[in-house]
Amino acid sequence: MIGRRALLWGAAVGFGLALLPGAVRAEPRLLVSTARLPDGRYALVALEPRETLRFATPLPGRGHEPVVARSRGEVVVMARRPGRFLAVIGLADGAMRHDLEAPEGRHFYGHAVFDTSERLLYTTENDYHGGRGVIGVWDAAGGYARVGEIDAHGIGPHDLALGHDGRSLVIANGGLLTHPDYGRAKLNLSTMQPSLVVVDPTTGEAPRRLVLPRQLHQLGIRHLAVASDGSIGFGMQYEGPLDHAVPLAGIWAPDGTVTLLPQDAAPPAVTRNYVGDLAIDATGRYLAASFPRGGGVGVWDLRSNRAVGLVRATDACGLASEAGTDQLWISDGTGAIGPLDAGRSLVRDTVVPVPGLSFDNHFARI
Amino acid sequence: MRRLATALVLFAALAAPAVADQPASDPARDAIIAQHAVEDYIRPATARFARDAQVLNGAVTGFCAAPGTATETATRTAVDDAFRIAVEGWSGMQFLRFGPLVEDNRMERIAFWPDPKGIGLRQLRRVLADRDASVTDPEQLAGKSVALQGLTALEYLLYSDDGTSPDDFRCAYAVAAADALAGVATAIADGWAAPDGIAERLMQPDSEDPLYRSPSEALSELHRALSTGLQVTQDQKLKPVLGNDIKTARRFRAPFRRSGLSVHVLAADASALMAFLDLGGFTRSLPEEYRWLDASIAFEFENAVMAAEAVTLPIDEAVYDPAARGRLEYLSVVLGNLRTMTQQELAAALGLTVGFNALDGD
Repeated sequence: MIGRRALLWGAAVGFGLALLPGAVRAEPRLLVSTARLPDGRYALVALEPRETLRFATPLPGRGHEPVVARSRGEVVVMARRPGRFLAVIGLADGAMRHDLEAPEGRHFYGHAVFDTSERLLYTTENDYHGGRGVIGVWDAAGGYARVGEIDAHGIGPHDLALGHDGRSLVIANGGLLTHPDYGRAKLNLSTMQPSLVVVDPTTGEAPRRLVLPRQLHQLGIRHLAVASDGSIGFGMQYEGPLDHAVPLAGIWAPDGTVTLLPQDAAPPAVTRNYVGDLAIDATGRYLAASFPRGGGVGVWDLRSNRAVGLVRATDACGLASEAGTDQLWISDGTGAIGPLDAGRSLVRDTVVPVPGLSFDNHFARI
Repeated sequence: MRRLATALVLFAALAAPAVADQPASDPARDAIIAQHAVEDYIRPATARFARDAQVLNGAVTGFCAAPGTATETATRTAVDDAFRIAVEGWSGMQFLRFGPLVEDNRMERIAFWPDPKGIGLRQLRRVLADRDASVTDPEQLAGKSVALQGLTALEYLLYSDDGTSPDDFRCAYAVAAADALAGVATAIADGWAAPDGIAERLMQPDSEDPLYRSPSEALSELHRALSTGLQVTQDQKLKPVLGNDIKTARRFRAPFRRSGLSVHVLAADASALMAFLDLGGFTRSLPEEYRWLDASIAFEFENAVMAAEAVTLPIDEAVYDPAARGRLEYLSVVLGNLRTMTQQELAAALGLTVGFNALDGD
C-alpha cells in the first residue's frame, strides 16, 4: 500500500502538481480505477478531483473492474481472466483489507457487483473443469467468506449488474470457452453462443434470456449497463473477420424489444469490431461504447436510437456515468481521464493526473 | 522510518521511466515488409499446405482402396509421410490467424485443438460407435461439427491407440475427411492468391479500408501474427505439456501425439516463424539503435530450432527424460525471450507500440 501523504509528496516533488488546499473534504468525489503504474506494476488508484492522487495500491496482478461499496468504505477488485486474486481495499487510505483467492477450480473474469445492501458480492467466474460460467457469492459482511454459487446460464460470463428491480442479476455471457492451462486461448470460436440473461439469485433461475440470431453467434456480449428506466444496454466484441460490418451495441428494453444500434458514425476501421466498455448516462438518454483498438468512443441517443457521433480518443476504454448529470466519463491508457457532455458537444475534457500512468479497462466514478 | 520507506517506494513507482523516443513508422519500409511477407512467405506457405493436403488426400485414398493387401505397407508409409508433411505444412501457416484462415471456422476445421475438455474425442468416438455413415460423404462432413473434420480427426482415425489398421468404416471416414481438408486448404490458398483479396489489401492499404488503413496497420497485423505464433507454440503446445516439473507433466496435452509428431510440430513451428521473420525482412531496415535486433532475433530462433530438433524421443518419453526435458525447457525459455523481443523491442523499432487497452483486451 502506498500512503496518501506519501503519494502527494511524491507527486508534488516529482511532477510539480498543485497540492490543493482543503483537499480533505467531507465527501470528496473520487475516481477509482485499475491502472498500470509508470514502473510497470498493476495497481488500484483513487483520484480526487483536480488530479490529486489519494492512493495507489499495488495489486497481485493485473486487475479489471473496481467495484465500490460506499457504505462499507471499500472497493473490491478482481484479477482479469484467467487470474484468481480478489482484493478488498479501503477507500479512505488504500489499505488492503482482504487479499483473497478464487476457490479451487475457479478463476475470475474481472467483473462483480454488490447487492443493494452491499452485504453480498457477486463475481463472474469460470468453472474451467466443468467448462461453464458461474457467479460466485461472497459475504462481504462476514469477511468476504465464500457462501455460494449460482449458474451463469452460459459460458464465459463477463460483466454483470443489478437489474432495475434491485434484486435480479443481469449477466453478459460472452460465450468464449477458455481454460487456464491454455492462457487466454479461445477454444470454441466455431460454436460460441453468447447471451444476456437475467437471473434470480435466490432461485438461480433465468426468467429472461436474450440470444442474438444464429448468424451473429460470434458477436460476444461482454459489457452491459442498466439504464434508469430498466433498459439494459450491451456492448459486444466480434470474433469474425475484421472487415465484417456488425452491430456492436444494443439496448434490451423492459418490454423485451431489442434494438441493435446503428454503427454509421463508427465504421469497422475505427471500432475494430471491439467494444471495451459501455455506459449509459444518469438521465438514461445517452449510451456510450468505447473502441480501444481503434481509439474512440461512440455515443448514441436512446430516444431516437441514432448515433450522436464519435469522439476520437487514443486507447480509450473505461466509461462511467456521473449521478445527477448527463456526463459520461472516459479514461484511457495514455493516462487521461475526464468527462464528456453528451447533451452539448462531443468534446472531451481531460486531465492527466500522473505522467506515465495508464488507466486500465474500467473505472468507477463516485 | 516506515513512512519514509513508503515514500521512496512510491516515488520510484510513479517516476516515469526514461524511455527513448519511439521511432516513427516508416511507410515505405512497412510496405516493403508487407510485400515480402505476402509474396515470399504467406502465398507460398498457403499454396504448399494446399498441395500437402491434396497429396494426403491421395495417399489416404490409395491406402484405403486396398486394405489388407500386399501393397498395404507401402501405401501406409505413403500415408505416414503425407500426414507428417501436412502437419509440418500446417505449422507453416497456423499462426496466420487473420483473413482466409479465420473465415468459415477454417482454422478449427483444420485442427480442432487445443481441446482440454476432450469434446472432439467424445464426438469422434460417438460417430465411430454409431457407424454414422454421413461422415463418409465429404459434403455432409463439411457441415458437421468442426471437431469431426481436419487433421485432428484424421489423426484419430489413422493412428489408433492399439496400433491396428483402420477398418472399412474408419477408412471411408478418413477418405472423406482428407477430401474435406483438401477443400479447406485450397480455399485458404485461393483466398491468399486472389488478386483483389486480403493480400492486395495488406500490400496496398487505404485510408478507407476498414482492414488496413495504412502500411503501419498492415505491418501491425503481420507483427501480431509473429507474436501470436510464438505465444501459441510456447503457451499452448509446450508449457501445458511440460508442466512445472516431471510430476505435473501432461503428455496427453501435446498436439499430434497419436502420430508421434508433437516434438516435430515444435521444431516446425519455430522454423516457420523464423522463415516468416527472415523472408518478410522484419528486422532488415531498423533504426540505428535497434539494428542489434536483426542478429539477436535470428540467433535466438536458431537456438529454438536446434533445441527442438535435438529432441529425438517422442513427447510421451521426452517429458520424463531428464536430457530431453531439459532441451524442451530450454526451448520454452528461448521462445519466451523471442516473445519479449518481438512484443517490446521489435514493436518499438517498427513504430508499432500498441496502447495498453488496445492490446489483448477483455
